Amino acid sequence: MTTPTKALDERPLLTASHIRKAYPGVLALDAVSLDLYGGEVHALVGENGAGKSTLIKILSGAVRPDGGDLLMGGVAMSFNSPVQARRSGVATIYQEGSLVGELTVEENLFLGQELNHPRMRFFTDRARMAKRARSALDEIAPQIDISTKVRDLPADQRQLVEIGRALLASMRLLILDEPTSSLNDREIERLFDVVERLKGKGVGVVYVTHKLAEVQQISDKVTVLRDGCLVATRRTDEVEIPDLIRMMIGRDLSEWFPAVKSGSVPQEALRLRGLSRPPAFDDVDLVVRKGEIVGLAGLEGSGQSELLRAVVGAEVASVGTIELFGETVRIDSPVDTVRLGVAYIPGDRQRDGVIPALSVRTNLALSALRIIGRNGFIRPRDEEELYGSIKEQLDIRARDSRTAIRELSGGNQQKVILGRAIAARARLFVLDEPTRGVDVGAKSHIYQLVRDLVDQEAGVLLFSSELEEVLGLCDVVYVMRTGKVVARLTRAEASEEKIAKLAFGDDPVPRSA
Amino acid sequence: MPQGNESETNQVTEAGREDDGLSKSSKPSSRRLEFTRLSAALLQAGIPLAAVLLCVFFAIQEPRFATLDNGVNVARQFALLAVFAFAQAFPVLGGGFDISIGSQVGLASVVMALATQSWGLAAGLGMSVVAAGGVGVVNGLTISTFGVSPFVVTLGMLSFARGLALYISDGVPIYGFNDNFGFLGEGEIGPLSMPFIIATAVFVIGWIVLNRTTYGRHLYATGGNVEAARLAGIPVRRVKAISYILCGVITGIGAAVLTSRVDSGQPNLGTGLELEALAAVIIGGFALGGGEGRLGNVVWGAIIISILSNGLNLLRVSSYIQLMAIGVVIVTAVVLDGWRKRVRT
Amino acid sequence: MQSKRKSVLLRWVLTTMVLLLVAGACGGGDDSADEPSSGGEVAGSTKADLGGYLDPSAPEGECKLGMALPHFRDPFWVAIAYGAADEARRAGCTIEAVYEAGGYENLDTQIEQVEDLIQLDVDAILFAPNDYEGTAAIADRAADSGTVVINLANMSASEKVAYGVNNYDPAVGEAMADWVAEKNPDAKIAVLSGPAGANWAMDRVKGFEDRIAESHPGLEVVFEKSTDVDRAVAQQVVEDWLVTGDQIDAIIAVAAPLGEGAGAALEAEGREGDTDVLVSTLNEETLNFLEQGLVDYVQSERPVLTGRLGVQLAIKSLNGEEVDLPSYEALTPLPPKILYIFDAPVYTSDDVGSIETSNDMAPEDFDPSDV
Repeated sequence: MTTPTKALDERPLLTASHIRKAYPGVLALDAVSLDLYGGEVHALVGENGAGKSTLIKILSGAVRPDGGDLLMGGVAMSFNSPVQARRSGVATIYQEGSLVGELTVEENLFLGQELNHPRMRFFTDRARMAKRARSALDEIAPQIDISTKVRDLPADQRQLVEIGRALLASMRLLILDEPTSSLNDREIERLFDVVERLKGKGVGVVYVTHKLAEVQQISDKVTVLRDGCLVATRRTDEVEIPDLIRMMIGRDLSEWFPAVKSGSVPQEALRLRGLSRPPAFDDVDLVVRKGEIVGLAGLEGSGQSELLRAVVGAEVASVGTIELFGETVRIDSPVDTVRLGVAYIPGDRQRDGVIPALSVRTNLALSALRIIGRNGFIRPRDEEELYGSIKEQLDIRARDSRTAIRELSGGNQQKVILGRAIAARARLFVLDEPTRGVDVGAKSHIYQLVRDLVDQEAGVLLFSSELEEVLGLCDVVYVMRTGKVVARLTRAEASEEKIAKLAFGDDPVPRSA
Repeated sequence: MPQGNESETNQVTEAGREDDGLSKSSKPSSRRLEFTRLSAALLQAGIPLAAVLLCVFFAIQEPRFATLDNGVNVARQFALLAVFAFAQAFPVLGGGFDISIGSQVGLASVVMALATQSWGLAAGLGMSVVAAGGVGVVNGLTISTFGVSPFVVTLGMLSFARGLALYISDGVPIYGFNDNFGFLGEGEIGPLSMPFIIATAVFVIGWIVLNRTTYGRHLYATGGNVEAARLAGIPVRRVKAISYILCGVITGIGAAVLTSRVDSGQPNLGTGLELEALAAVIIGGFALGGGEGRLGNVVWGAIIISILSNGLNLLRVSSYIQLMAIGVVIVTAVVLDGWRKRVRT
Repeated sequence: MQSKRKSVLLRWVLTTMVLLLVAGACGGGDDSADEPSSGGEVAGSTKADLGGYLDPSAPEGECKLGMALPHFRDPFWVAIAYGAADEARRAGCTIEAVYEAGGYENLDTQIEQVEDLIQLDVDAILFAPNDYEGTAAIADRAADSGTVVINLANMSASEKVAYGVNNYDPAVGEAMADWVAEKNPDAKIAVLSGPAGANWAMDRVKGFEDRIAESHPGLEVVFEKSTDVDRAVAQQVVEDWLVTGDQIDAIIAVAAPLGEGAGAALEAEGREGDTDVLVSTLNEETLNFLEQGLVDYVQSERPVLTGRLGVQLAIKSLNGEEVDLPSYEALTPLPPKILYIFDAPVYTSDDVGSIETSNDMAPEDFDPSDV
């Protein structure tokens, strides 16, 4: 373990020393020690289940450690609640966000820290709050109108409001949990600007992410966790991405993307003719053959997700035809497509994928009930067998088949959703951001699974906002811009520059790679 | 209860790890674990334990509570409530609820009485199920076709079905049955009362539907996350609609028992029953948003309400205070259930 | 991790248990303190106290009584409970429990309450059923378990009920018809005829209508409406009638809240002078209305006496005494033996100031849930 060299006169803002935390069946953290300094971005990486979430929950007071100490400015702290942590100057901004949608930006900024009127104690001092809110946001997001309701803001601006709230409360340490998972490139740039500015003000930032490129771009130091243990803390400029990956998964990732097998069958799985649902997408023609992975590329929000949803019947297209396996079909709802052998892996797993309270087994078998059911009845044994076989195939890690799916990590949940599609014996897989919020190890596993699917003659249509994913995985790439398909590229034709140029159209912005 | 077993094994593995001597704090830790295990076990036992405590309390206060006779008595009273609670469980699992159950009972009672007069008891029983089931069909189709909230639709039905019952009967009870009419409500086979036998049958069938059929899976999934269920290819609208129909059909069975018990077709029968049924379901740990809850726990919910009512009656507690007590129990049950879930994760 | 949570939890459980205990205690724990209010009297009723209907008896053996009544929203049932409780005290019986079903619609609740009374092992049940036929089975069951069942004011269609006690309802309507006709033989009349299907209400209306047909051909019923026994509902109905502008000389109300609603509606329209209100049941409110001139005729129903007679009949049944009842044409085919109260007095505005209420009203401090 290398300890970073830092100016001796500067003491860490927060020191975590030998933090230990056990959950039923798992040792989530084992003697993890960490020094966090002001004016420094400290990235925290690791596979899902490595202990990142637990660590930040402990730092932010949401979870109490079983052992070890937290020192702030050399003084031992014991955070019993996030409120206490906040009082000590530690704020956490989670993926899900903690803003109240029905309230305005200003009201959210002061939520729980309202300013009272100097004379009338029971009333809030609206004028003073508005002024302070404005000045706090001016630093990071001048474009936001503080009287807008938060639910009307896009995701990136919501995040900025959360950061603004932390600034207002004079936070000294800010923990960002996967802050870019729902942002597009431009929004990410803006967020990085804000992070740089926070650094300049002496705020310490803990940055949790799966995206290793971001680690390189924004962080000063990086700590890698694996299986609850701290692998190493390094200065970012001293490590390369392959080193990080090796540290995270404990082995070499010799082959990142699986090899393509030649000799695909020319039978069509899906053909779209003039499919339209304005304003999301317009006049789309597209073909997916069996044994072929077709990718949609282009800027996020160019209609790709909506197109996928129309293909699976989640939303009905207004114009155009859909042919599945050679026949024109009428699609009113996912009931139709699932019956025809189409499976959908939604982009927002929590909202559209998992049934949180149900067991992994039930979640997995959900689309396959007509297969394992006998006249509408289900034998638990059949369900268990189905789960057993797919669990094996996908390497799903759950305590047992009756564990509620909400207790699983993101990657494992995603595998269950994928397993649901496989169990339904789908022949066309429609994947929206199949690796979003999934850790590196699981990612490569999912790539392999997708490749296996087409090797077994299924067709795959996927969208990913990570260009390297599209390039590495897909046999054919359709580039979309503002709802229209602007190009169809074969694997040989496609390149990062070409796609970027097509995606941005006449106004090319170089992509930071 | 599967959860109970699960947490038991969890605790064991955790304790196992402690024994590996991973850290020097293993001793106080394992004591704390004992503590956790105890409180977790207490909470897992939750509802049945509360029922037992209630029984002990009443038996101490009033020895006549703990007689076999009174046991039979409570079993009969419990059975009547349980059937309606089973009915309510279906729409609740699907993420809704049905507050027209009480009115369905009134309507089914009147229809059953008229049908029995014309065509005999079997037809009467059938028509009771048809009447309440018909109400369920209207509820289900309205909710799923127009996407109106279950509260509004069943509130409307609460009024409509009661009005229809009063209209059909001119507001007057319908009398004049031969002796076997009372069999469903008052009859006994061996030591078991007919209501108890019928409730048991409804429970067994309901349990099979929920746990061993495609429909049951679909219902849990729809209530648990309607969008995810839809995208997984589940016909969520139909699933919801059917939950109201099942609710009506079971209510019709219960209404027949109740009608037989009062030996007359009563348009006002079942007033307020919908809330008692809902209370039993909630005490049984069902989430009002849907997707969570086991039918077996509804039994306990109904048992607690019945014991409470019978016990307080025997203690001569005013019925006003009984209403207060039920209110306290409902909220306490939900609070404790919240704790149970948190302790588990 | 959970030790703190657990202590909170324990506190909750304890709180709940304490609440239940308190609930149990305030309802059940005060057997010693049930001294009814009008204390100081010498024990034992006289025949005059019983309206001359029965000779008082004292129980020879154990005499534990239970009551099951429809509800206590109407002072009528409170008065019945009072009459029974006071008579039980005088005679040396104990009241084990007084249940009310919370309303006529809760027939199933009432049946459960009678079941619970059987479990309490009372010697006799004073039972005012919510429904005539619907309670036959439970009355049979109670009788079969060896409990004496006495019907008060409402009857059960059971052969096994020992006695019923009831006001002779047709006489109520007959007397009203006579009074109206005497004042104005051509009067236009509106009738608030009470709950559809309730025997007592139908009997009163029938008595009224039969008497008109027999003896007062000039009287004409211009409005008639069945409603729940609810003052607000009655008031609205009468307001609707008044809006039509039709002449109404008299309003017949078969129960107290209906008469109160009618009086209130007339007062609101300023028409209390034009229209007479005739109401059955003397209670505090109808007495008030009579004094204010909003009601012109009040029929006593003597519920306190009904309660007293019920207890006496229970004692006599337990003692095995034979009771000779005058034979009338019964209003209901069952129970086989019904004691009818015939001579309940009528009060009009002339009587204000000299109205005897002890047979009609419970004392103010009487609490039926605390007997």
